[in-house]
Amino acid sequence: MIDREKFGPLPDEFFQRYEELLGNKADKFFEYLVKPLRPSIRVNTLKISPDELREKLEKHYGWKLEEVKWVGYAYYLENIIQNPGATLEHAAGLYYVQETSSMIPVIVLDPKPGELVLDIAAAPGSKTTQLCQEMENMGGILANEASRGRIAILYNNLKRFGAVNVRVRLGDGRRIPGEAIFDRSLVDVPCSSEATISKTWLTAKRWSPGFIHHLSKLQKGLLRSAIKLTKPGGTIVYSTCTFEPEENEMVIDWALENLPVELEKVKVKALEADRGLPGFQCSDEVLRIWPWHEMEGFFIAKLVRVE
Amino acid sequence: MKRFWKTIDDLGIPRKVLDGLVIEGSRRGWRISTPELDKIPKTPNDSYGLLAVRESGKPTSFFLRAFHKHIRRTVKVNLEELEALLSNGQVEKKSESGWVLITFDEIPIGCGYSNGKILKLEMPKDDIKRMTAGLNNLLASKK
Ligand SMILES: C[S@@+](CC[C@H](N)C(=O)[O-])C[C@H]1O[C@@H](n2cnc3c(N)ncnc32)[C@H](O)[C@@H]1O
Repeated sequence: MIDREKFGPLPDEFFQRYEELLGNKADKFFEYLVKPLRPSIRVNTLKISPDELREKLEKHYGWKLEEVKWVGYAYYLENIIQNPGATLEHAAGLYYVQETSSMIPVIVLDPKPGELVLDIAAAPGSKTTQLCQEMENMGGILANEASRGRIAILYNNLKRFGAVNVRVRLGDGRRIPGEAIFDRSLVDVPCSSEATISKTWLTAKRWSPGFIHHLSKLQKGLLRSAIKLTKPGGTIVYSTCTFEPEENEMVIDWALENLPVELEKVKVKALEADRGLPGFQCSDEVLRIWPWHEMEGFFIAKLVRVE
Repeated sequence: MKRFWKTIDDLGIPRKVLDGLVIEGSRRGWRISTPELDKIPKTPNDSYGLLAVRESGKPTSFFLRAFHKHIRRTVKVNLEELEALLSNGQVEKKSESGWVLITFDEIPIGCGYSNGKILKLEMPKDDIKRMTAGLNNLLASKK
């Protein structure tokens, strides 16, 4: 029996949907969806090595840090009673508090120092700052964001991180002018955020099939724009933190049919994850993180722009 | 530009660390960024790079923390001195005079100014608040 109290104001339709979609896995899905996750951090390797930071945090706050093997510069935090963002090291920008699954899209995008990278929906900047460190603070990133309120948080995070290679643009990602100049693009779209339902009731409150349909259109618009701005041969990574096929596999299948892109298999060494839901053109190439992987849910697809 | 380089030289940052970066003056001071950012079309009100040195020659705490590994003129403070700095804004401490980076246990805390005898904290209010919350957690963990 699932305890509906834990899900906030989610309508029956949500539960019916996932019972139909997941069959005998549905109970496990609901159980893990509201299970608290281990907090995790990403080390700002521009300023400090993972080992040095681990030593400091263990010494100063009595935490225990366990390496996230498939990332290389992230840790799970154990034995922590404080807010992981309230430390001297955090204020100095030596690390960023981030769910591990949210680190996957940048790892898959694999940006290189010196390249030009587009981050089309960037605030609060978790992935922009990760792009910075992967690019060793070189090259150039266009961090675009439509919300004036959220862009302020993005600025603060970039300053705290010490980013010198980012240009921040306030505006609709579907209307970025210019040519196809980017080597790589990250399309981490606004979504129904079902994976975060246990964290914020707002997500549960605004959930509806109509909202999902509206988001799906916005996501296609953002993906279309990013593809247009990416050089032929360049890589595009599309990601969401929701489980809805309409915002995930269906967006990718639509892109494969309508836009100049090809699909590439998403591979992350040593990461336990599933492929897409069956029945779609992209099913075998995309990646899904489900709550039972004990990470926040995520969907990740990798595309390559063709002429 | 002279004032920018004076600050960099005073802090003991080797100039070659900034090789390949674009240094640009504006009303607020000098901003550093990468040359590749110039290839991205600009839009009104966009912002780029990192404000490094203010018009007055004062380095920003964000810049000092970003380049902390390359700064020679740092003042190492202990726990009591850090507490005093964050609560009173200054502490008695002999050190080289001028703009400095204050560090605690090799954590780059932020900008300070020393007259040789007294070290003053020169960080934005929000930053001081965040550092104080961190210090309080550290002190609580020691108990
Ligand atoms: C999933 S969040 C991005 C998270 C971010 N990539 C990170 O890792 O920190 C989606 C963002 O898209 C923004 N957004 C919504 N509509 C947009 C649009 N039309 N163009 C650009 N950004 C948009 C939202 O304000 C939100 O900040």
